[in-house]
Amino acid sequence: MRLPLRGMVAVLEWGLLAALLAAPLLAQWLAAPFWLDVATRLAILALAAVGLNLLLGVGGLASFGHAAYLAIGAYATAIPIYHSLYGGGGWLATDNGLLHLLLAVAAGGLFALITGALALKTRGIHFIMLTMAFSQMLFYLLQGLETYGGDDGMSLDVRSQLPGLDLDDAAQLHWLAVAALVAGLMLFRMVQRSRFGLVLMGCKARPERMWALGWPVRPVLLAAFVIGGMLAAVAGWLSANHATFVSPAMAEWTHSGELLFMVILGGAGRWLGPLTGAAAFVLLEEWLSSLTLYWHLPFGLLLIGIALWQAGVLQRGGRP
Amino acid sequence: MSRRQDRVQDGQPVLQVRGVRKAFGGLQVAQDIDLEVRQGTVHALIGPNGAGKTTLLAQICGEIIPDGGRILLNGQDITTLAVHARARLGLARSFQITSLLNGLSVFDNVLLAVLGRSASPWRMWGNVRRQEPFASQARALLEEAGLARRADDDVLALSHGEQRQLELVLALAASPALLLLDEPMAGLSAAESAEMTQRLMQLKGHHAMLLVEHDMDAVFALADTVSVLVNGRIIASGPPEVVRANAEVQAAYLGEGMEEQPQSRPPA
Ligand SMILES: Nc1ncnc2c1ncn2[C@@H]1O[C@H](COP(=O)(O)OP(=O)(O)O)[C@@H](O)[C@H]1O
Ligand SMILES: [Mg+2]
Repeated sequence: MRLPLRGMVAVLEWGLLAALLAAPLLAQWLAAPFWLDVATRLAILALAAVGLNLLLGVGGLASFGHAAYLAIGAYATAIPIYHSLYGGGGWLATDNGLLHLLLAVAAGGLFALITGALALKTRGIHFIMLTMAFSQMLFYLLQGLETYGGDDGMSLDVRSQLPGLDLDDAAQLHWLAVAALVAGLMLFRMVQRSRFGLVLMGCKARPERMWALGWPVRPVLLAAFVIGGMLAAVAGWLSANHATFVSPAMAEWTHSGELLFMVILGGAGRWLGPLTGAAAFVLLEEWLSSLTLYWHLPFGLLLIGIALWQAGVLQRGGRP
Repeated sequence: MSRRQDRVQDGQPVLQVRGVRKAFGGLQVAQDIDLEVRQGTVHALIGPNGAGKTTLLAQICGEIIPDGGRILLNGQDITTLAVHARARLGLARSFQITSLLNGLSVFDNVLLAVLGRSASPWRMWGNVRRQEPFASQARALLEEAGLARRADDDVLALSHGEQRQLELVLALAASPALLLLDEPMAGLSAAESAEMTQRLMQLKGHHAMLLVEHDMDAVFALADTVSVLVNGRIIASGPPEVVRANAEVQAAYLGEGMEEQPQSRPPA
């Protein structure tokens, strides 16, 4: 029972990746552009979840503020675009997508560096609470930015400009998102197998022992926290271009919870896990919201149920 | 006996503890502790439960910072140095309660121990498990400890004896100058305990050791110097025979105090 199940999961993961790659063609063939939209959203969320998977799955850090980086990446895109269209903003005003990406990664990394350095002074539940508190602080900060729509958020009246790519073309935007996801997955894979990844796993297992063996535990965890935040900030850059809309709600803790669910659903620490996790999340969301207007509660219950079931399956599958 | 004393005098001091003080609230767990471990020797620290032995080891390895006094490793003041920085200077410890990296394989545990002394953690590329010379060193250590066939198993799958064995491998992997051993015999059967004593005997001379142990057979077989810690104070220190004969020690610890030590057996 165990092996076929694991084999099925692997088939599902690779199948999903293939489906994502082919999504623009499939959507055209089936004349269902709506599903391309869903697929792009899936790829973007999966990329953010890959960053969280590095923290939670490899380093054992349950960050409950990971959605903050989606918001940071999105605002790092929306603000320069706003100024490039309507003046002001000085050096920030640009419609250059590469600069948006750079700004997103830098801002996300800086936010992770500062909040991570503080949050990592604690462990366990306190760490979870602190990461959540920092993302809520960002939420209120963004609400206060009246120029950029305050708590209503704002629309992007143009998308990021990239050489050789037209992001107004849904297929090109999708492939860009999938390319970013694949790059993120490969980065995750590389880091997980590397010395840094092994040290991170050791820090998850028993920090006191890692100290005694000569490893600087907190700087290592902080580095993982920064990398994970940067990956999610890239997802935020894509998200702003996909939805052409940003709002403080992106940073809300409920979205951080959803990202955690995706990682756990897909199997924390599994390389392609965030892909299945994000797929399950997006599809369930679509399905339930088509059934009922009051889908949030059953959705939450379903997520908890699946996560618990999944944890059991992985545990049984992982034991010799 | 005389040979043993010669060796004691020959070795340079690897560890010097000078006037270390520590209190937890009103509880004095270290009162002006002076202690030295010389190269190639074993210094045993004995005393009743709650005497402050584990706390003293924690101060030497840096988990607890003393209220006063100094700690020197190979002449360098390490009193306030971070735990991992001390480890990189050649200080290793085994834990009283087995503290392996659960969820990782036996091989990964040893590999992290081998890398920990000198390797930078920032290498984010390449397969760490194939990287030489570290991987070979880890395999050789497992071979030596008789744990090679367990290399790919999760450490949780090991027997208690194998876990204690691995605990020692981890401490030794980086060829430390000083080894802190907190009750390595705890929870071992008589046979396993004799085996562990044998193993420590082989290591003697290669690493200076500070040994906290209730098993008096092991202590008197291994130690060049014995210090007796009672209520945070060293009440006697010297060659094993002398300490054993000390009346104060007999009264405080080796005598009827023995019954209170569940893991100890009477000295031979
Ligand atoms: N972190 C701490 N805070 C307060 N008291 C402690 C702490 N650690 C140990 N103690 C107390 O200090 C005393 C010495 O403990 P310990 O060093 O573990 O003794 P030993 O290892 O000799 O049995 C004990 O009474 C213990 O309860
Ligand atoms: Mg103790």
